[in-house]
Amino acid sequence: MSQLYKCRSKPIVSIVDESTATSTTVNETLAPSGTRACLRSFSGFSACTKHENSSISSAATSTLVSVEFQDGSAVTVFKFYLPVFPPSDIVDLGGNGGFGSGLHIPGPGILFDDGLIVKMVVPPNPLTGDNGGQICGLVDVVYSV
Amino acid sequence: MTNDYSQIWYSEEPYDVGGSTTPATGVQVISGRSRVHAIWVMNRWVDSSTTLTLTRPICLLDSSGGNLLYKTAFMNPADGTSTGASKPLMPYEHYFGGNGILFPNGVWFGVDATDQSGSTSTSSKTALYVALLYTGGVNT
Repeated sequence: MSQLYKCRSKPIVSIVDESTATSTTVNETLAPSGTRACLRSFSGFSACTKHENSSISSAATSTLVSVEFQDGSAVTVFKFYLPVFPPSDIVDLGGNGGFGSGLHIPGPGILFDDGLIVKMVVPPNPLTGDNGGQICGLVDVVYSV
Repeated sequence: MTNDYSQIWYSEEPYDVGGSTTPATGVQVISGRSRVHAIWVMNRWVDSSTTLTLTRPICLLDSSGGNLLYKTAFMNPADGTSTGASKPLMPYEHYFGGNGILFPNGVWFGVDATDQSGSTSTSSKTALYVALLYTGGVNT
């Protein structure tokens, strides 16, 4: 007989102000070490408020918001970079961020048999003025325990 | 669709899998009988151009230089008028449906030497991240 597990979900968000010289890390323990969890799906995006802010940019992985799915011992099972869809015009006409990615995992999901931790790292956001403004990362995780 | 848990293989350097230029004949990334169910690619902006740049197709083969069972290509999300410093990172997800694509002896990941126009320029390397969702085998 198949055993059914109820899904849970967790939004994880980090907003970083301008003039922040170092990266910002958020660790969310969805299942502690010694327990099983199944990652079903996730969706997320990153954003910056000003198009001249290069703190989030696909120019390099160091300027992207990363999400690591780790086991209970903080060993990374896989890593992902959140999409960003900045305004490309010289005038900020709006429509920045909110461009998500629905990442379904085929079958039951990915098994984490010894805990599940989600680690999100938002890059430094050191500048101000036209190159400043807030940046953010957000990931919604659906999982079962 | 499978009842097995998914496994994942991913690379942050899809053009240099294994530490050297990924050949069109492939680098083995999954061993054993496997079904690949999906591919995720994060495609990045690389230059400002009014020409839509083709990128080098990514291939999945059933052995080194063997049968090509899956191939996908991408467009560079270029913007010839872009002045912004923040450049986009575009997700591309392809779910194969059904029971996925069967690879009897493992999966070889390959990248074509040229884009679809025959160009070998570095601007045709736009994939920043690739992941394969599969069942049955193990990462090499």
